[in-house]
Amino acid sequence: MPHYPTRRSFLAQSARAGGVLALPHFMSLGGADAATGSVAPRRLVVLHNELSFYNPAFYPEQTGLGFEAPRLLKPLEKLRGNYTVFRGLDHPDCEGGHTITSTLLTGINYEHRPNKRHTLSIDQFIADRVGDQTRFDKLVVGHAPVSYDVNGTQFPDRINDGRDFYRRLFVTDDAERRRLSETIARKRSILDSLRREAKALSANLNAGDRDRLDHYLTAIRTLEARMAKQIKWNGIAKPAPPGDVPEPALGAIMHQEMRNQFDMGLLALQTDSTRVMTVAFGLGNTPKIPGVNLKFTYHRLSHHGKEPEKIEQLLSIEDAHMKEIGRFLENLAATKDANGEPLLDSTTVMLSSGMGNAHSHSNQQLPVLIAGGGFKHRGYVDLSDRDIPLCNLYVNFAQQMGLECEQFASSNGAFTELS
Amino acid sequence: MDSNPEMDKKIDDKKMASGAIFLSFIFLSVLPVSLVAEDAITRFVDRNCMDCHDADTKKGEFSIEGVFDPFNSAAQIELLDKIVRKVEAGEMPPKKKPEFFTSNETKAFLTAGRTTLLAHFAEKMKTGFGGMQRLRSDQYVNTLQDLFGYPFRDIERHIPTDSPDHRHPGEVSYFHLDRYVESAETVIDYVIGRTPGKSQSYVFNRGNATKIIPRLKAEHVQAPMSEDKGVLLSGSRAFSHQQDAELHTAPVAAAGRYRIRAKVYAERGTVTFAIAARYAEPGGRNFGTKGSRRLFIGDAEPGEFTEIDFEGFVNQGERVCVQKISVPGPNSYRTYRRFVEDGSIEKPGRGEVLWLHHVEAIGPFDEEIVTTRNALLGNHSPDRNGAAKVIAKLLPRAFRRPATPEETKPFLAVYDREFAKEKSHTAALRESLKTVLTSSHFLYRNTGQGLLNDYEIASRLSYFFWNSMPDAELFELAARGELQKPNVRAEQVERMLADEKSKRFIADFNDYWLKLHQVGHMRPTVHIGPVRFDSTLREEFRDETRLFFAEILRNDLSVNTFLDADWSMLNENLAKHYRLRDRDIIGRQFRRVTFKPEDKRGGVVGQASFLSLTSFAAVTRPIARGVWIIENLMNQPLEPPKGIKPIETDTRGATTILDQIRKHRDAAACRSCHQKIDPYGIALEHYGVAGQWRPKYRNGLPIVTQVPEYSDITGIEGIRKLLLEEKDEFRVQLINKLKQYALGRELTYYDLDSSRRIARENSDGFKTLITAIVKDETFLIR
Repeated sequence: MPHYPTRRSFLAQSARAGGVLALPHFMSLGGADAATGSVAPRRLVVLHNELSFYNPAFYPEQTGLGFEAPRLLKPLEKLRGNYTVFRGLDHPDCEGGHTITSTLLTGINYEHRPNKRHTLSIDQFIADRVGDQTRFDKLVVGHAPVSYDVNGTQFPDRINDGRDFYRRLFVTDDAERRRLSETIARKRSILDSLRREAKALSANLNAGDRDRLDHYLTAIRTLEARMAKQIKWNGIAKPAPPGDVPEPALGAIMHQEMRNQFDMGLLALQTDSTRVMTVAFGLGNTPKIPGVNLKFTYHRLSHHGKEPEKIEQLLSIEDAHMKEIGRFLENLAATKDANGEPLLDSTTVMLSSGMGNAHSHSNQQLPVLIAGGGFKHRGYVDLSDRDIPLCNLYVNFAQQMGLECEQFASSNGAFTELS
Repeated sequence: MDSNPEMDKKIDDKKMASGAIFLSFIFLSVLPVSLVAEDAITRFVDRNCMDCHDADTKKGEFSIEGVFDPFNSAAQIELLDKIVRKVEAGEMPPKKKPEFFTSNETKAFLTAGRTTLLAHFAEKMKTGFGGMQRLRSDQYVNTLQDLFGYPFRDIERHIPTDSPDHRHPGEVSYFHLDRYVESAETVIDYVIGRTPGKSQSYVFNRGNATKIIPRLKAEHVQAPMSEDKGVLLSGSRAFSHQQDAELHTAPVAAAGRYRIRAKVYAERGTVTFAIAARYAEPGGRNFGTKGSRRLFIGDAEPGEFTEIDFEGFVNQGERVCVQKISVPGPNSYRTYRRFVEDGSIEKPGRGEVLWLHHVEAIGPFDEEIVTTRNALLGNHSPDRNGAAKVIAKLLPRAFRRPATPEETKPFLAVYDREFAKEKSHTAALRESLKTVLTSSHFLYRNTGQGLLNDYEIASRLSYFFWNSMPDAELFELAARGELQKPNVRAEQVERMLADEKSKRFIADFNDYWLKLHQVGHMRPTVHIGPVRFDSTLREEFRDETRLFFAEILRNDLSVNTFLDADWSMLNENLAKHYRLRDRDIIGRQFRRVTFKPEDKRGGVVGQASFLSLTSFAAVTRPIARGVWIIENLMNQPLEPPKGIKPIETDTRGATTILDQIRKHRDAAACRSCHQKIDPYGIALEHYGVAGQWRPKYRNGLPIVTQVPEYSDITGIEGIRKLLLEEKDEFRVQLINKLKQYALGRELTYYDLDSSRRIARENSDGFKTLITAIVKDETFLIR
């Protein structure tokens, strides 16, 4: 029976940590400098490609640091030693093609749960604990559902494109700010009444229903806490974009858009606007690849039927993905954080996909590339015969963020491959 | 809500009369018979199951060792429930091990198992299995609409959607609540906050085209050749992210009824076009299909202007769009110009062209909102007493039950607090009413305990057939205690299904049961025949199945009709798609059409909706089709495969899908399921990705419709014959689906038992069965 954090245990954990959810005085557990009280920020970035990567071009032939780079890892050559590719990690009991890719960060097959509800995703787990320290708890970019809260509700607020991203980070609209304070004041007053009114209901309920009402009351409290945070940040001016970066234009297609989003993502981390970011790509338009006349849509190419021509065309798209990802990672490595250290060293980047093989719709053996994060990197590690849940690694992510975490979703032990 | 001792007693009396259940209940709770039953259960399990399902072997990751010793917990009941179902279905003990399977012992086990389960659930029935339920997103929107008698459609896209796959929605999250508060503000501000009557005009024409749609380049609208025809509607993605070419007005500032006028010009052939209302997200990307509603659909004849003028409801923020559908054409203005310049536009296959001269929306004309407002506010005095009256009038309908004077107090307190702050009666009343619409009593139903009370029965009926709140008649019947009477409920079924609102049941239940919402998730990318796949055809696929369903329901036809009908509901497009010849089916109207044997259609399995939703873009998925048939039409749950690699199709060379499946299936672990699944899917291989008939595969290979090693089913006739042999199971399965939909909770053994009884004791008319479900006492179990 897989174990996942229930809302109760989650609240209990939050309570032990000294606050409920994202109250402003909540401090993350580790990473704090006891003397000064300042926190060395640590970050998590998840990159999810719905359509996975063509396996033979993604995994090296040799394990260890000295592998010969396969085609898709070539754009990452400058970063060797700063990343590890894992083969063989996946989520137990998660099989079902495109619908199951949404379990990438939850690790639990929601279809096998009583209410078919998703469970908490690792990015949200972390955002719930460190999100109070930045303007945005978490930023979700692109349209692929992988981010869920404790109730299994999909994270609703997605950034559409680079321009949207830029405006959220840097553009302050005074009218909008005034409107927001007014709206929040009104909403708070309604919430206040709701809490009083719900008390009347709770008297008549049995245990199960009281629990359900509890969710409702928790939702009220959480919303109130979030509004308090919004009010606080509403009063603080947004940072200026470092280095006068211009606002990206609208209408960019796939790889230009990816570049815009990664550029904005870098700025978001650099300005400490958020510490958790989830970027999904691989759905939507088929890109234009210079010099390649794509004969099919990206999705159809992913079902290549082992036909060499289709595989070549698919790889031309994946090459371009990896080029952008390599550029993003290089930028992370070149940018210094507040302590003068490379941003990449304090940022765990995971590139993965909810599918191990998009052609067969297999959700096993997910491609996993971990970069930065201060981990001890091993190059290429083949775990195909070890049956290790990907969630073991997620526990590492949380711990690397300085959080107390022994178990997450389907994890069943410590992940020792990065230490 | 307080439980009602009077009513509890009434139910007990009734149960006394209903005999069997009552007896077994008394029998088991008074006599120590449960010990005897326990013995039979443990004996059976020890002798038959332990060989594979002991703690060591744990076949299928399932160990049974020691779990019934001693026999007392709820988890064991659940387990017993599972085992009894497996044994009943003949799946366990495995047939290949007959030494573990003597029929007398099985019989004794089943008797003991069933009695134990029924006794357990008869006890449990008093408190109920389910609990309070949050309104699903569609129920929430429908309820607001029916509460105010006004179509607040724009709310739908602001709240998180609950998938049609599960009837029981999850818990409320802070962002649900945030959106609920916002929706309440929208609704209340709209009903009492705005002055109707100021109408405005929204026009799209050549003059302002590039301003409204920045993606349009000047050359698209200023070329001399388009001078008197307007702007080209072309299929390029630069114009829209949808598959249909589209041009649109600016978003309207206020919701309401609009007069919509458009003028289009077709060239080279008849062009079908639609006028729709659609939201555009900020930033201009991601036109949400969720917000797209067709208001009008028509044909433009070539060589002349076609003008239309009609009225439709447009939401705040929606744009009025003109969409060119169902025919290909030059996919950009540049291509069109090239075709014209080199003369190739006259070549066949270049497609038809549509120009939009202008489209205009003028509005809103909104007398309706005044009616809604009057109904809400009535003639109240603009003071605290008046506010109390308005609240007291709204509460029972919003909460779907009478409200005590005590319950109005918190809302009146909001009024007082706001009034003290703002000194405005209207502002204070508004805040108070918003709180009503975000109250837990509004957002949740079934908040009582024990058997459903009268008002909860009213809601169970109304959310079943209308997916929304009860109407006045149901309220009144509940107030008089009439809904406790099975015959009164039966009369209501008749009335409610005749109501227009039952369309919601038909649409929602079909999404839930047959997964119709998945039609079009994979858009065919291969040639599918004379009719192109577009959003119209996709809707027509769904409409066929919904109307087919409605026809069976309204005429109380046998539920077996789903399996073996020799007719369906079709229009011209579908008749063409199905290649029905020599029949006079003209126009968009759907009508009942009888098939001939050579049409190779009939029953749900011959419908394009099912056949397309179980296909990929370019290839069919026989296994998905087989699973769909087994899970939705037969009463056989399938366990998903564990630890097995899915098929990696190799389309190089001439390997057929059957060969692929065979290779895959040769693993013993796969065979047990695939010998069930594959024959069904393979039998339908003559139906392509959109359900079109195909004589052979695209690569020229012949189509095989039989898996000879497992089955002699071939073709659609074979499937229909086999399904009919299983019709009793189908009937039970359908009853279970309906119950799950209506009750919104997992079904227990007790419910399943009653389903079998309902199936046994009634004729197989669809409406008759639905009525029987509503009359059955399990309908009153929480």
